[in-house]
Parts: sequence; C-alpha cells; structure tokens
Amino acid sequence: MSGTVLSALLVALGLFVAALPLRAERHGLAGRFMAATLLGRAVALVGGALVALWEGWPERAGLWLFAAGIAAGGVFLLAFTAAFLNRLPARFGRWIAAGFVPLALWLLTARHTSPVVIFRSVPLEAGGLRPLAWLSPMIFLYILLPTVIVALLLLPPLARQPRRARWRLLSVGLVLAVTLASLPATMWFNVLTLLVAVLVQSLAFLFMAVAFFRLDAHSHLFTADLVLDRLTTPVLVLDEAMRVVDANTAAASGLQMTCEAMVGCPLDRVCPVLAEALREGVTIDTRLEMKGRTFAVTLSPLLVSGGRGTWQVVILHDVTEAHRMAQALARARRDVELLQQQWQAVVEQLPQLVALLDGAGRLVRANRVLHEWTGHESAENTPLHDALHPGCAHPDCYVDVLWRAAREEVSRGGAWQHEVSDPVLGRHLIYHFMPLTVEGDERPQHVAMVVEDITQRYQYEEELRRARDAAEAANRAKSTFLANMSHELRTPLNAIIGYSELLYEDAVESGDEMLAEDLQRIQAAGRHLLGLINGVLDLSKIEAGRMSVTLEEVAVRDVTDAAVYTVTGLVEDNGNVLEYHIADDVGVIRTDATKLRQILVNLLGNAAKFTEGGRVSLRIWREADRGGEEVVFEVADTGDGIPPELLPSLFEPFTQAKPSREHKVQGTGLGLAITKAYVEMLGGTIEVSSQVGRGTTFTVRLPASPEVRGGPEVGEREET
Amino acid sequence: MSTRVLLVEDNELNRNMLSRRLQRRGFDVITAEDGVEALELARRERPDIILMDMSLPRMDGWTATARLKQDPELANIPVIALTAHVMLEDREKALRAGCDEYETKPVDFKQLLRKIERLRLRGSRE
Repeated sequence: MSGTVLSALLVALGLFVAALPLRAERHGLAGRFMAATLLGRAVALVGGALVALWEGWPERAGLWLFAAGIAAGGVFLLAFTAAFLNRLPARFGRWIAAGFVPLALWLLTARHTSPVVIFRSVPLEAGGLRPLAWLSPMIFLYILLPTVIVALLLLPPLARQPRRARWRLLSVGLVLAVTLASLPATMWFNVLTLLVAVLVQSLAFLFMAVAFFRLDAHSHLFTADLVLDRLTTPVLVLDEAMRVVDANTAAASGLQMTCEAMVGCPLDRVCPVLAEALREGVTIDTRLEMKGRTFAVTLSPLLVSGGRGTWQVVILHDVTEAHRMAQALARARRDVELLQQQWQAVVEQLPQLVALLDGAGRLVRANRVLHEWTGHESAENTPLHDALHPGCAHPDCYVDVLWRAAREEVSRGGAWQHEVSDPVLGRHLIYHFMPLTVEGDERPQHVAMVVEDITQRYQYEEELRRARDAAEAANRAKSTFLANMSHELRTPLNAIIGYSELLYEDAVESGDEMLAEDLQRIQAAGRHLLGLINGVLDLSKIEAGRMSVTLEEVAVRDVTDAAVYTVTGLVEDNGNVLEYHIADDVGVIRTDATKLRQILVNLLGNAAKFTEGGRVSLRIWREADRGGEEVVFEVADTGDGIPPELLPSLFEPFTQAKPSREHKVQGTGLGLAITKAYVEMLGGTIEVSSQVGRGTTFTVRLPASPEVRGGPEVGEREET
Repeated sequence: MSTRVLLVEDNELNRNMLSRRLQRRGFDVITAEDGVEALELARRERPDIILMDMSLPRMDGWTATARLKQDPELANIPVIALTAHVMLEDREKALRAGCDEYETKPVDFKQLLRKIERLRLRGSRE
C-alpha cells in the first residue's frame, strides 16, 4: 500500500470521526450540513483508495464513490454556510437538489478512468485523459467553486466577530488558501501533487469543522436555536416584508402550525392579530388576545449582515395571569378610589366643619365648610387659630385656649367638646375634638375636629327663652294684678260687711225687723261678692297652672266625714235630709285631701242650695278601673234638675242652672268650674246627669294611685 | 279692767268700723294710722293686744311687728295681722314677721273675737 493511499484513508477516517459528533442535535442544522460535508469528503477519499488498492475493484464503482463524495461535500458545504449564516431559504431542499444536477451531469460525462489515474499514479496521458477536460468540472464545480463561494460568504461576518471566533476565520482562510494553492498543482499534471492537494484540502476542512464546532461548541450562536425551541415563549423572526423567517416550537404550537409551514409565510396568514398590532405600532402596554391567553409583545431589531435590512425578533410573553391580576388590581384600586371619593364627598357635604389636625394643632385637612365660614381658600397646614380666624391678630383668642384644653384631654385618649360663641365668625359653635388612632401610624397623635354650627338653634332657644321669660313675666304681672285687685276689693268690702253687721246689730237691738232683714241682704250680697273674688282668684291660679297638688296617702272616710260635717248646716237650712253612705272597702287613696274636701263641699253645697225639702245624698265606693282601682263619689239631690241644654256648659265659669233664682240661691257660678279643675288635677273625671224636676247626680271618679303633675309650688288662697 | 286693743289701720272707714264694733263688745280701743305711730302708742299705752294692718304708710305692718317683737318690753304683746292679702305666702310672711295670728279681710268678726280671746288668755297666763 502506497503512503499516499494510506494517508488518504487516514484523512477519511479523521473526517468520519469528526463528522459524527457534529450530527448531535445541539449543533443544529448547520452542524448536520457540516457533518454531511465531511462525510462526503471521507467517502470520496475512501472511494479513491479502493480504486488504488484493489486491482480487481470495479473502476466504475470507485469512480462513483469518489465523485459522489466530492460533489456532496461541495453541496453540503454551501448548505452549511447558508444555515450557519441563518439565511436558509424557505425551500432549501430544492437548492440542495439543484446542486446535484451539475453533479449528475458530471458523473455522466466524466471518464471512468480518472480516480484510477489519481490513485494508481498512472500518468494522465497513459490513462488517455486530457488534463483540463478531466479537471475542470471537478475542480470548478465541486471543489474550487463551492469553497470560494463559502469563503466569500463566511469571511466578512467572521471578520466582524469577536476574538474567540478567530479560529473560524483562520480555518476558512486556510481552506481557501489550500484550494487556491491546489490550482497550480493541477496545471503541472502531476497526479501526485493533485492528490496531495485534495488531501491537504480535506485536512483543512477537518480543521474548519473543528474550528466551527469544537472550539466554540457552546457558543450562543449554536445553542440559540436549541434554547429557543425549548422556550415556552413564542419567538418569531420576521423580515421587512413581515414574512416569517424563523419561529420556535412554542410559536408553532401556539399558532397550531409547523415551523416549516410558517417559515416564508406572510405574518398576516400566520397570525393576523400580531400583524395588525405590528402595523399599528407595538408599545410596552400592547396586549394581544389569542386563544384565551393574553400576550405582551417585545420587538428587537435584528441587523441582517450584508446591509440587507433589518429583521425583527418578535417575542410574545404570556402575561395572562399577570394581566388578569393587574386587571383585578386595577378594578380593586378603582373601587377603593371610588369609595374614597364617595367618602370624601360625604365629608365635604356635611353641614359640620370636619377637619384633621396634627399633634401640634395645625390644620391638615378640612372640608368645604371652613371655606364657607372664613371665605378663605386653602387653610391647610396652618395653625388652627389662623385657619379659623384668618387675619385675626388677637393674641388671646379663644381658639388657642380651646386647643390647649382639647389637646390635654385628647392626649389622654378622651374626646372633648365645648360650646362657644365665636365673635369673629359670628356663629355659635360646638367643638368636638377626638383622638384619631390609625393602626401603624407612628407619628404624634392626630386629632379629628368636628365643629357644629348651632347658631340657628341657639337663636331659637334664645327666642324661646325670651318668650318664656316674657310669658312668665306676664303671668307674674297677672298674679300680682289679681292679688292687688283682690286686696283693693277686700278693703272696701271689709267696710261694707262690717258696717252692715254693725247696723244689723243696731236694728236687732231697736227691734226694727224690716231694717234688720235689709241689712242681712247687704251682708249676703257682700259675702257673695267675696265668694266671687275668691273664686276668680282660684280659677286664675288653676288656669295659670300654678295651683299645686300635694299627693299623700289619704283615708277617704276622714275627708268625707269632714266635708259632710262642713255642709250639714247648709243642707239642713233648706229643710233637706242628708244621706251619707261609704262602703267599707274604700280605704286609702293617694290624693290631695284639701282639694278632695273642696270638691265634695262644693258639690254637696250646690246640691243643698238647689234643693228644698228634699234629699241630698253622698255615696262612696271603690271600683276596679282599666288601669287600676278608683274611688267613686256620687253626690245626688232631688232638686229641680238642670235643663239638658245647659248641661254642656255646666262646668264653665259663670254658668248657673237657674239665673232667675239668683236672688234666692247664693252661688258664684265659679264653683263647678273650680271643682272640675280640681278633679282633673287629681287625675279624675267628673260627670253629671240630671232630669228636670227629678234631681241631679254628680259622679266623681278618682284613681287610687294617680299620676299627677301639679304646677310649680306657688301660693294658694288662704282657705277661710 | 277692760282689754286694751291697739288697732293699726290706715283706712279710715275700716278703722272707724272695727273700733266701733270692738268698743261695742267692751274693748278699750286705741288706734294708729301707720307703723311709726303704732310703735309709739304701743310703748306709751302698753295695749293688751295689737290688731295690725300690714299695708301701712311710713312704716308697714311687717316692719312694725318685727320692731315690736325685737323690743323686750313689747315682745309679749300678741299681734294679730289684719290684711287683705290672702295668699298663703302672705300668711307665712306675716307669721315670719312675728305676728301671733292672722286674719283676712273682710274680717269674720266672730272669728276675730275668738282669736283675741285666745291670745289674751295666753298673754295673761304668761
């Protein structure tokens, strides 16, 4: 075995070994093309070696192997370059297929003897070959031409790459140099030289493969595809015409297409929503809704080498959850803001002044009422005094005093309030100060202040007070007038009654009966007048609500006995019989004994006065009432009775059943009015029933335990 | 010896009427028209009982009574207030001033006599 054949086999083995790891996934498409390139070279070398070593080997088969390897190596080298530079055409398979067309032509036209000539060291002439006819297709089409094209494509971007990519630059340069250097060798027609050139070129390719994939195997350029495909974030690369240049797996599955199908497609067909958004302009806030998910869009320009324009890398971030949360947050914030605004509106619309003060008594915030009161805008962050009384320079203003007192109480945690008449604001105010404790607030305590304007209420009260004072004064004046009138009337009455009694005594002494009788009439008239005066006085007291009631436990029988005793003489004067019956169970009631006695005396007296030669009766018994027990006092007579038309006004002052009989019956006309008033003061009722010619019955019902409120304790007329 | 009554009354009619009625009942009646005069007469005449109107010129009945009761020599002379003031507080006022009894006008003569008798008896017991 010649050394040439041996080295060819060794190089083929090296290429083969180098090719295998390049097929690994992490090297991506470019790796696979490079592997195919190297394998093509290796196959060509092995094919040549077989021709050289084995005489019996069919020359044509060796030729096929050699040619196919060389040609495939060239085609795949171009494909590698395109993939490496990320400029894979949409249907790159067709390009590769196109590369095999010249290969097929060459295989059909080439002479089968050529590998034999090379590998068996047969001179060309001896092989019947003309050198250029043999070399031109092989060299130009599948060694020189692809190599030079690849070098021209790769060198400029590699030259711009950082230092760590220098090996690649070097390797491509080496391949180019070796290839160009092998050209003169073919001119010499030295077959050995030509073989050496092929071997060296293959070694240069090996070196290039190592430089591209071994020295920089972990370079981002080669892991990028892989990483992108592992991403769950859809990434698309678009060209200027918005056609899809590349897309990762996530984008493909998200858009339910294959990557291959997407590449080269206009974006409008792949994803109309995204296309629309890109045309309108993408911002940081752009959100796309796709298939129930929400995406944010990031665009980054991708400068395409060779000045072919700028592509765009489109990254779609799935922000569905974040978006949902952000929306919920925004809604919650809107709700809170709305609530705050509503609350603010409530505070603003309150009729009271509502303010927040800091611990030093400075007004932090106040509602619109402050402006209404002071007419000044924005009193915020001013001392309370200046806020309430802007421009007031009074040194001892009550506000400061007020604040000091309030602060003391509030600092102890209590609320403080004070009513004050503000001369500056012209209002009557109630100040409320309250400590304001907000959890987590470390600053000195703030204070809530609410000021109520009670000017109007205060004025009403003032007016009411004045009116009441006036009424009381008038009442006092009336009482004084009545007392004076009573006094002034009594003085002459005293003389009238006194003189008539004096004269009556004289007349009786001198036996002048006519005179004595007349004088008695004067006396009676005088006493009647006295009764009127007393009645008017009592009635005015009752009407003024100044008649007092003294409630105590009263044994009813004691009072009725006394009343009966008082009227006995009066009853008998008219020849009447008094019937008096009291039930055993009447017992004790809570009432005013004096008034009760007066009631009974009045009623019995009336009955006696209006009845002649008849019967006057008093019956007392106890009854169960709705709300308790009551005692019934019934005063009945067998007198003339009262006409029905007079009954309704019977209890009004100056009403008497028989005015025509006034000369005969003595009564003031005030007795029943006073009686009724007394009964009502004791919480009872009085009723009357009467039949003309048959008699009259008064029924008084008094509760055993009345709820009675008398007037203020004011003097009553001395009972005489 | 008949009972000496000092009647203090500014109203001439009433003074005349009452003194005549009292004299008719056997009383020795001396009269005064105002408080000052009443005090003078009380000191000079030492009446057994004084009937005192309350509304008087110069010095009113309450003051005169109070002065009388402050004078140790006159303090034990009973005083009956005679007044046309009929309110309960008037009675209180009179009793506070030192009056021993109280009688409203128009005077119930029989009642007045009873009161005079009672006070005179009390005075003579002392």
